[in-house]
Amino acid sequence: MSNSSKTTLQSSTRFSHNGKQVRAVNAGISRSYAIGLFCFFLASACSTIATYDQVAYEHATNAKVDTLALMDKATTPYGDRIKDIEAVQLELAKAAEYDNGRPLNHYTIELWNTLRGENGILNRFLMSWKKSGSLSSAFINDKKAHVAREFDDIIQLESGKIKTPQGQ
Amino acid sequence: MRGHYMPDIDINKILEGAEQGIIHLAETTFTTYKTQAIADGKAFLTAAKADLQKYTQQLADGDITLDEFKDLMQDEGDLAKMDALKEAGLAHAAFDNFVNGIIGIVITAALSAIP
Repeated sequence: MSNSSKTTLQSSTRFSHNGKQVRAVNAGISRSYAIGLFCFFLASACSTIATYDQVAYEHATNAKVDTLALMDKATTPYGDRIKDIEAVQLELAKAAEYDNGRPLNHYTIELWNTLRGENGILNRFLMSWKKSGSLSSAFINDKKAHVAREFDDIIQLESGKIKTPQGQ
Repeated sequence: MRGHYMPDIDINKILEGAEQGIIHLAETTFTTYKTQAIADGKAFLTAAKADLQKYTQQLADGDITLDEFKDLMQDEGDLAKMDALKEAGLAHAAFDNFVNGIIGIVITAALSAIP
């Protein structure tokens, strides 16, 4: 075998050897991606509740402050506060609707439904206010404590959800 | 306080009476779930004890009306439901967090096994 033939054979063997290495590395990378993707889909499939949402959290905290502020006004005639009442009811509706559109959010939706229910704590308060014209400070404070607890349940559940970069 | 001075309310006496009422209600309503219903009823009473004492005192003192007292006690049902919903939701979030932790461990283990 001539020298030039030897060189060609060696270089061909080296090339073939390098090719196997490249293929092995590529297979390893592909396998890593496959495992990563599998785990990602597994994680997505295993979610049982929505992740944390900063906007939803802010809706709930703002609505709590505004609702409790409105309840403080129940020592004055109901008729004088119609606009304030409607504004708070609209704010609550928007907050609930936002949560209603989020997937895997059953518990928060049910919490809003209970808080805003026709025969719920807040609505019965508003009905008493409307019926009586105005309410005593003692009753208002007792009801405020209850409504605050309802909002706290929504807020605590939201802040207890898993935080993701998208949600914050 | 609107009216004249009223003595402090004996909350234990109220709780004893309520407990007897709960047992009777559970016995006449349930057969299979009677024991669980009594336990749930007692847990509800314990959770509402502070409020019950406060509102009974306020009613006795004339700070709230009977209708307001009934309304406040009705709230306790909603509050219990809300607490249960929150706890159930938090349990789901904790479960998801645990599963994500397991998946992280699996990913690390799998990747470290690849030469």
